[in-house]
Amino acid sequence: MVPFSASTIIDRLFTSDGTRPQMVHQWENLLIDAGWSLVVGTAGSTDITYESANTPQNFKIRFRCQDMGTPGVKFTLQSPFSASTDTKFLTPINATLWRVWANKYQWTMFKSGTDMGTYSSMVFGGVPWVPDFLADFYRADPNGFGYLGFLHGNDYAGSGGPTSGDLVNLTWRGAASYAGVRNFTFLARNYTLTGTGTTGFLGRCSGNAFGARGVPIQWIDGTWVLEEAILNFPQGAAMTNALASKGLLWDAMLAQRAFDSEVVRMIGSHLFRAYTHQANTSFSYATLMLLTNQAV
Amino acid sequence: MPLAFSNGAIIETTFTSDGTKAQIISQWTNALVAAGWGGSSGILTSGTTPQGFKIGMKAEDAGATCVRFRINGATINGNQDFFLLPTNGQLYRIWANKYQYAIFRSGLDLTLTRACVFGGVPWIPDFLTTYLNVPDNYFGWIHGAGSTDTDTSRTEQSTLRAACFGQVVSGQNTSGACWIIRGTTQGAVNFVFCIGRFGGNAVSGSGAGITKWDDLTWFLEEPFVNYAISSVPYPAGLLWDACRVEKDFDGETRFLIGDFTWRVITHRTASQYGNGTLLFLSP
Repeated sequence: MVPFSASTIIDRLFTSDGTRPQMVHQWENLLIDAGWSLVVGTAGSTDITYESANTPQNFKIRFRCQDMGTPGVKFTLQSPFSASTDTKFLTPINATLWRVWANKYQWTMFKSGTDMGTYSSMVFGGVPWVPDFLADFYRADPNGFGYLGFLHGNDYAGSGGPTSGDLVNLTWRGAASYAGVRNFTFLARNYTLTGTGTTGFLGRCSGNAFGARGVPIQWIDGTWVLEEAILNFPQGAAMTNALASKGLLWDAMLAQRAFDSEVVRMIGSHLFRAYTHQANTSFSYATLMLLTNQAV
Repeated sequence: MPLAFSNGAIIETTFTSDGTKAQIISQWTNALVAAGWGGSSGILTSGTTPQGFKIGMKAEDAGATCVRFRINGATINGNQDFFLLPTNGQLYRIWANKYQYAIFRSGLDLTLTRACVFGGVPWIPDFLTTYLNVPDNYFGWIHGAGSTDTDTSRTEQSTLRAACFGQVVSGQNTSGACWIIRGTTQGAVNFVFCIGRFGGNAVSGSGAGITKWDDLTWFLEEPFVNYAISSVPYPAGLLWDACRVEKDFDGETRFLIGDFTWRVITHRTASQYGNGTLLFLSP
């Protein structure tokens, strides 16, 4: 099952002028156009907090975007009651192309193209779809206050300079269902689950599982298997717990085959854009596909 | 992808063996006919699925100690039979709908030989119809442990009685199957046959598979029935009236999931949750 937001999908490009304010304004315009609301700060400024629409399960989430004067623009996952100390950064690079995508529940901003080695080049955040029984679980704690969300990126320090653990190939841009994907924050109930090395991936099984008793990736006629974009982080609030599923991405699915970044494919009656650049042909690592309204 | 419900009669019955093959054949035939199978010349033919496919099955007294089960197409027979041993005084369980069946010796002892047979025609998604409807509309599978009348080399640990996706003991795929597919028969005693999309070795280490939601609810999964090509499983449809759950249960217990009552077919004792428990709808 793919949960569709039934909302406006924004999917567009811009060329960086190398400045942080431009990046903040692009992000703000993206979220406004997709249906998010300004809740803290002044529109057009460089320290703004936007809140998602309420999902049918009655959850929402906030993100703060700031130009702190460092090399990168800073993003923080927030609720009115708690702010994660974990942040993600994007560093503008003059004359490079960036893609922004959003619906009313989730958004992403990343450096366009097939370069999987650029640090500080992708951020993805939102509030997931959750099944009803899980919604009850998250709402059961009065400290939850109906806020639920995640943030994923490849720069948690904003200090510049690549570190191997943060490169794009260890994000959903590089391999959506690979167990080495890391750098997440998850906010639910009365906790934030944060870790720079946090492992999390999409789907129900990482690509490493392929083998003698692995995971079928094709139907018998060669059709590639599509899979729900299930969001996985350590269970509960403890980083040491085994992974558990915390919801699904909206307007998204996994395809068990390799695609170049940002190509558009018709699946069923919908257009999807490849978010992952699956260059290593390990199809089992899966490609994240996001719903788009653009033909190319 | 949803579960596939047959919307037909589901027959569940148990009987105590009198030690004869004739009783096994009679009980199996009666159950399948009551579930909606028909046919002649000793071959029972399933109902035709909404996708237009059917399969034939035959249970016969081949002369020695066991009942021989064979899959039949329009013009060909399966190249691997499976055998069921009647044991006097022991309880057997039969489950059938109009598209699939299971017959096995009841209980929790998975070391038994020649003690279970499963078979049927899968539900398939529409896009597989054209590919599979060659040269006719016969398509199906049979699964079991005993490959000969005297086979004692294979136990139920290698079958769906133990796990959906991987033996409990040896760490290999669940196996022992024969298919009628695209006008050919493909089968062997070690032919990989597993249900679902996730193998048990995917549940630990860097290949971690996810077995629970955040509230510790166990995952339910569609019962993909996998056809093996060079021992690699490829989904070829879904079992009818079935689902897979990533939790251990004792064999043959019943419980509610949603609005439906389910019967546990596997007997999962090894805590390898990722190998999955198979559940059949229970009336």
